[in-house]
Amino acid sequence: MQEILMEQVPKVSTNIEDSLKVQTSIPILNIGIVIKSERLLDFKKLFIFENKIR
Amino acid sequence: MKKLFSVIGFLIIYHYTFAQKNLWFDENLVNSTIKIEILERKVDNGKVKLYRSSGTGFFFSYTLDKNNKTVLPVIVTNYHVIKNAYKGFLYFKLSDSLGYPIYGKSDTIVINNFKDRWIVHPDTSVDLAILPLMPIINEYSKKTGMSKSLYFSALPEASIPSDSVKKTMNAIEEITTIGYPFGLRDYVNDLPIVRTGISATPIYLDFKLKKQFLVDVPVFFGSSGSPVFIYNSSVYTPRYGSPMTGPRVIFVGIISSTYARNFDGTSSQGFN
Repeated sequence: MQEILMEQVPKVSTNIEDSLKVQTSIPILNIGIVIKSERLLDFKKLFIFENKIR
Repeated sequence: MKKLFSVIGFLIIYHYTFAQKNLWFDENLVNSTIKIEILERKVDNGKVKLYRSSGTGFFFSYTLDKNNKTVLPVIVTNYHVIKNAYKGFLYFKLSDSLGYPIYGKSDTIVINNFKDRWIVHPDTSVDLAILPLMPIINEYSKKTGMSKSLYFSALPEASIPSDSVKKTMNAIEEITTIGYPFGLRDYVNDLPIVRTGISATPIYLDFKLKKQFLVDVPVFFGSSGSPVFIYNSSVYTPRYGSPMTGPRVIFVGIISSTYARNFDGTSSQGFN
């Protein structure tokens, strides 16, 4: 059984001094983890808490 | 934090109308994202080096009154995209005088102290951050003398599925994500890359007791922050229902991370 590691989707990154580097190791198992859209409503609670902004 | 809220307070004065003007639904979707590039400093072998990275953001609009007239437009992305950014680059399409996007005309907004402009999710275990848009639009208008306008198409708050909508979802749904894998973007027309797949776990359930689910969609570096939709362009069948005519578009989430195992047997390593 292979161990599967969980990690963040990395950003594309370029060392400016070395010019563009492209990743050569392509994932063969590629399952995306998705945060549910309803978590965006949690920010709204911040707005309401600070009701002086209304 | 107080500074951020005072900025928001300023914003809410605005009764902002959506930028999108009668675009067909799928054209709205491909105009809902924005490529985010950042510069960060890292110490490498004792030397400070500059790194340029990219992720995906999308436009979202909070409704702040019952009449849906006072809204707060923001850019949403993953916190890990911007957390180390001292400078940010946002690639906007320009808008014509009627509010339609002009394909082939875009502009880049450069923002210093980029990470400080973002509001981080109140639960720090949730990898999300939002950037209020109106200060950016105002600064741009001042700078250009209002000779040019930025275009964006924001997903409305109402696009988040309600409990009743969730009950119509099937255990397996057709999924579409929109973003910039490997930083790829049609830079001439300023358009993102659309990928499709299926839900890998039921969206209406919480995967591992967290408000998240899995998708079998190609997710690569640069996809962080991509909006995720259930997207049926023609006929679809809701759970326990009869076939219905589409389109059906439901904004269900944001790509944040991936389970990955590489071809060479190693785990994926980012360049963060």
